Amino acid sequence: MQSFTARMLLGGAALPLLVACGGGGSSPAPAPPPTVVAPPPAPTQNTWVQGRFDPASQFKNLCEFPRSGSDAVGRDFLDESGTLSDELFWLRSWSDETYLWYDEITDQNPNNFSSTLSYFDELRTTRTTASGNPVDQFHFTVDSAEYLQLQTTGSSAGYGVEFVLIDTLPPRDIRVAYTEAGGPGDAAGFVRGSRLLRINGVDVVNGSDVNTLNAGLFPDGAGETFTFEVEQPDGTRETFTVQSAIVSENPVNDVAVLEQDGRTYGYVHFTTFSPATAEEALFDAFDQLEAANIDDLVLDLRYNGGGRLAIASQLAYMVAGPGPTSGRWFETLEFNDKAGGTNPVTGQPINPTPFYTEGLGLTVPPSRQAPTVSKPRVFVLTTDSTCSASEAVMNGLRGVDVEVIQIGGTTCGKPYGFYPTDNCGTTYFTIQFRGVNYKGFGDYADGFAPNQSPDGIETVIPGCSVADDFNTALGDPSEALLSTAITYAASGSCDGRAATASRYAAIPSTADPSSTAAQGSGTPVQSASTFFLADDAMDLMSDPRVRDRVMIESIRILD
Amino acid sequence: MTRGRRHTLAASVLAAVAVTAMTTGCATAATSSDTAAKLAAPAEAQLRDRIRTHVRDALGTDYMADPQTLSETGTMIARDRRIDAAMGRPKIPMPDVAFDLVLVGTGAERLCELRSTADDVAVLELDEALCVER
Repeated sequence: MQSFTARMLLGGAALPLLVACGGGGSSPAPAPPPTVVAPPPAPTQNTWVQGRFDPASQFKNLCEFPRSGSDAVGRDFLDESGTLSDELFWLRSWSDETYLWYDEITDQNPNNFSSTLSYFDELRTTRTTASGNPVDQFHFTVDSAEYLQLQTTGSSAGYGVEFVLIDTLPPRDIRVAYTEAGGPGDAAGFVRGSRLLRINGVDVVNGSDVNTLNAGLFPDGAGETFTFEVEQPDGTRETFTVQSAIVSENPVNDVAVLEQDGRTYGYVHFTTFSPATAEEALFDAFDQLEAANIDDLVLDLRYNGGGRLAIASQLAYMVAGPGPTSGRWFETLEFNDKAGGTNPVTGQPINPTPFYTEGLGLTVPPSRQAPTVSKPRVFVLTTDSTCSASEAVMNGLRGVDVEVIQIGGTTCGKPYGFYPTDNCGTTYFTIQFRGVNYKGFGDYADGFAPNQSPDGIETVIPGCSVADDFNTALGDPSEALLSTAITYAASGSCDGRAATASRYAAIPSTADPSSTAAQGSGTPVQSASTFFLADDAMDLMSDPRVRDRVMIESIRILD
Repeated sequence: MTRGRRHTLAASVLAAVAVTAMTTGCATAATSSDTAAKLAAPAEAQLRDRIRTHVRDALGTDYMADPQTLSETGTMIARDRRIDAAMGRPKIPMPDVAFDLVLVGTGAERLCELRSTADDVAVLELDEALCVER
């Protein structure tokens, strides 16, 4: 290591004068008694030479406060005794080696920073997108023990209710998107469109007790009880007391065939690319649609926050079929320009994700060929909850010239990914790659937006901007997004008469075969659904097709 | 050692230094003589570090702020990083917390304070020379 010892300035004048005396308001908190501690022994510093970077491996696991023993899953800590400077220099070199926009980081002397977190905040681009949002919105750290707990325990508890956070700042608007049939939320009386007013007495719309609201919306475990006051779509107010539970997940919420004016439309409401359940559910759904010989496909991804990229590839194949996909790939990961053909994190060659045409072995054996409807175009229903792997499906299909027609709202815009990396007890998330399609496009940080006149802009997709319709059941042909898709399919226009399609009883909702909509009555139905659990992204480690290429945990920023 | 312990140690060190280096322990309540201020120049790395550390200590690691706005407007907004959203569990974000710079006191005791509009958020005291009146 190119370091030598030097005494670190810890004199009082060099450090901030932080006094915890309360805020500047009218009722400041009492000042805590001063605590005088002996200064720590002088640590060593590495030498900073602007623009010269030693390998990150030289500083890896050299910790100011090394951990001993093993973590919660039994992996030994590799920490060795080091200094804050070692941790800062590791961050600097690691960012230079792997950050997607490493050449937009201003190289500063790490020794000027008193904490890794403050320094890490600066190791990012400050560039903004065309819409003015930061290009890099996903730069953060998590305590490693906390992150491991999150990864190993998941968050499978809930009420069987998908909440949509339409407006997260006061006045907030939080609604129920759908419920899991038979789940606690369904039994209590939540329906699509229920608007939350109070949780345990806390005002959802304007209240400041965000912690209570989040605790109620996203319970940590089963058996937690909360009281919800809601306004139902018909304007009535109801109060429920609901207990959280472990609710099973149904990734294909609805599959149906609709008919209007002699054309048939396949409809699939797909909610998560979860490796635990999604693969088999998709195969079963597309088996039905393939057999139905549909004219057009409507893929409802409006609440699909993402998941496994390999399943996204399967879905794209099921839409497009072998014609446009054979000999081409679905998506590849693009790292910074230092990477060449090698993944800078794993050291392995970068191989594109192919269009998978058979089971991945997750829940479908590799011997099972994927069904396909083989369509040259697909209607995709979207909102800003349509993220990551869902966007990858859209982008991947466009990469092989399948026409994607987008109905709904702008997607969330998450084409990037990272390998969460622990060093000395902190897990760092810095953007290290983006997914690009067969045509090399992957710059959609502002999301995909529908427009009838897209003007050739890659992120503006032919289609119609339509607000989500919380007053109508999902899968009901009169629901605004689905109705617009059907209208557009017939006329090429976003305007026109409302769709009056009827659903074939032959292929009812997979989750609610007795639904009234399935019988074509047009009466809103209690759409079955998955419970609220955003699948935790692309975990290549568990994908047998790519396990040999990716040796450490990887997350696609999705969900 | 856990992360939490490290933070505790850092805070203790800071507190100790503050006690030895300061003549006034606490910021005073806002008075009519207080003057809205901004940083005289873009914050250097060490000052950005101090401000970010202050925000983190005061509000927690879920918050982030850009100290550079203090040289432009004299104000700064700490926002929820939305880690939950990036990790697949979008929640209601914590409310924004506003900070602004104020010149307080007179003569040798004149200071530049970074104050928050939120209750119970400590004041960060800076050298007067770092600030100018807005």
